Amino acid sequence: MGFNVLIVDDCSAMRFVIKEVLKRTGTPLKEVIEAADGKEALEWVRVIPFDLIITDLNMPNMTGAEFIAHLRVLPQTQRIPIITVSAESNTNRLEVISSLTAGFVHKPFRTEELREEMLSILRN
Amino acid sequence: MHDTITTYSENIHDIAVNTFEITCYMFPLEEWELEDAGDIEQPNGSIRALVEFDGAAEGAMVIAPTENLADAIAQNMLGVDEVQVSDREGALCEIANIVCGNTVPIFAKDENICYIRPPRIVNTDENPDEMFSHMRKEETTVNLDEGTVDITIYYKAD
Repeated sequence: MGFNVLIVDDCSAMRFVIKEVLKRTGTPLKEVIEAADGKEALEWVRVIPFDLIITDLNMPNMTGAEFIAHLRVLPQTQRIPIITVSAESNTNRLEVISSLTAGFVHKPFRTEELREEMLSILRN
Repeated sequence: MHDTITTYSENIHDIAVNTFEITCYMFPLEEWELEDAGDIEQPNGSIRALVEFDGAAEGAMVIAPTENLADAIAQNMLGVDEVQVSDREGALCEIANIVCGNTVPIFAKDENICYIRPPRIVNTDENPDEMFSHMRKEETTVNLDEGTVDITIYYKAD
């Protein structure tokens, strides 16, 4: 038993950081999958039932906002909790995205902030 | 006008310092450290990341670190001693994305939406000064304990 988590970010170093923080939550993990953009991530959500998705917003090919919009219309993915991790600062845009997601962590972030956000979802 | 320009540069400097501190565990050199350091290696443009933005504000940001700093950014983010070129470029692009994402609201008036495009590495034959010659330009230099980075922002004025 363990959680399936999908990490979506075009920067491999950032995916590494997020994965390390995820390990430090101490929660049991089953599959931790990495994707470099929304398009690749959409392929993964069709084959693995994820318990949590952590996604960047600013990515090539398919942005995080487009990816989230796709997830929210697919019956099998519309209830998956999503944490967005982004440098996006526009409050109007963030309000829209926040209404579709479970949490938001602003870049640059302290690892503790992200860890707490992950724990608040995985514990429930 | 002078005050506004100073504020832009200072804001970008502060955002960059905060980003490097939190993301890469790097800290700005104090004035006395700069004096003691003597000749500090300056970025030579061998590696540069570019982020373009449009919408409520239009422009681009270029981040050019020294070679040593580019390595250290990736090493610190990945927690390893040896990094590949792709790690170095990816980590620098991420830093550019964060600094630009936090900077652009300064240029976007009235909370209107600005779109930050995915960052990329500047090709050696590209000259951002020429590419964005029709825009205004602000520059700042950040001296960190692991190296120096030049940050340039090009933006369209109202």
